Amino acid sequence: MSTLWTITKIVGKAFGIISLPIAFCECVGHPASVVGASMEPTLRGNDARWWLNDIVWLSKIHSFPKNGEIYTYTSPRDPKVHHVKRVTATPGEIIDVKNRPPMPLGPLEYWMSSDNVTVGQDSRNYGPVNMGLFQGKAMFILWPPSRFGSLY
Amino acid sequence: MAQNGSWYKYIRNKVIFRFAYLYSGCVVINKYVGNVIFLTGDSMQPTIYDGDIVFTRSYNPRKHEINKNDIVCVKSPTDAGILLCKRVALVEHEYDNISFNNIRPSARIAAGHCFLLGDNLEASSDSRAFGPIPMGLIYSRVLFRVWPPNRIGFIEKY
Repeated sequence: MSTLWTITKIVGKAFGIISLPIAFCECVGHPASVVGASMEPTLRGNDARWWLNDIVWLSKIHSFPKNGEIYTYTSPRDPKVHHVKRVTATPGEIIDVKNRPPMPLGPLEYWMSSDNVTVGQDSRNYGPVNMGLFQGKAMFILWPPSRFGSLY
Repeated sequence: MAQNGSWYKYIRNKVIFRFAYLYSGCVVINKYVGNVIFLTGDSMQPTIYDGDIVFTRSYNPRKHEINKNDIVCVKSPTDAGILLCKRVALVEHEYDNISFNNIRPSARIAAGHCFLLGDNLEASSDSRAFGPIPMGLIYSRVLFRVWPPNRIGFIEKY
């Protein structure tokens, strides 16, 4: 029946068109706003006025995480929240922080640290973060315009 | 439709767009609905056999709950790009009474973590080897089996 085929084509096209931006966010990247002060002064997210908090571009296309790069990841303590921290140790490196015996990191474990150590939780609280939890790599600050630019 | 050389471009653009729509549609279905996964290995016998194909439901921590004894597909904590399919034996805050060896002292499962166990204990590499895993590694929950045809149906729960 040709009306059925027409309806299928319209529904298919609508679904495809709506899926395009969602797939782009999943596969290429998307902007995200920073919450919290744990990455000060690199990222500012502690103002109640939302237009003063940083917006960063999170890229889903990136090579293996390296020291100094900033990543978003699902928190190991609560899968509903995402944290954004900097990689300070990669698999195979030996961790030497207090309250922990020095041990090399496992094959997919990364040590994430806040830039602002007085605030927030990071690997000192919940240990190394598995690469499977990583969501995206923070590449640029998109907003505010005065701080626009690459993070590296 | 335009003529000659432009006809070729028109068809090419149509193909590219339709491929983009199809790919995006699949990404959205994988993210919000579920996946069809081909399972290998013997670690979940007798519940799941090597070669079974199952339909799974995508896991969104903000919307779904993982209950004890659910079968889940998780991203492997030791090998990038590999999915494991195991049962959730212990959820967060439960006492770990499974790791008998002294490598992991008997303690509560940490907040946001779960303990995976294969149904076939002899042939399963699970949380007895790599420890409890954060729930953020869970990719989807196994719902029912679609292949082989004589065993189609919901996967048995304990």
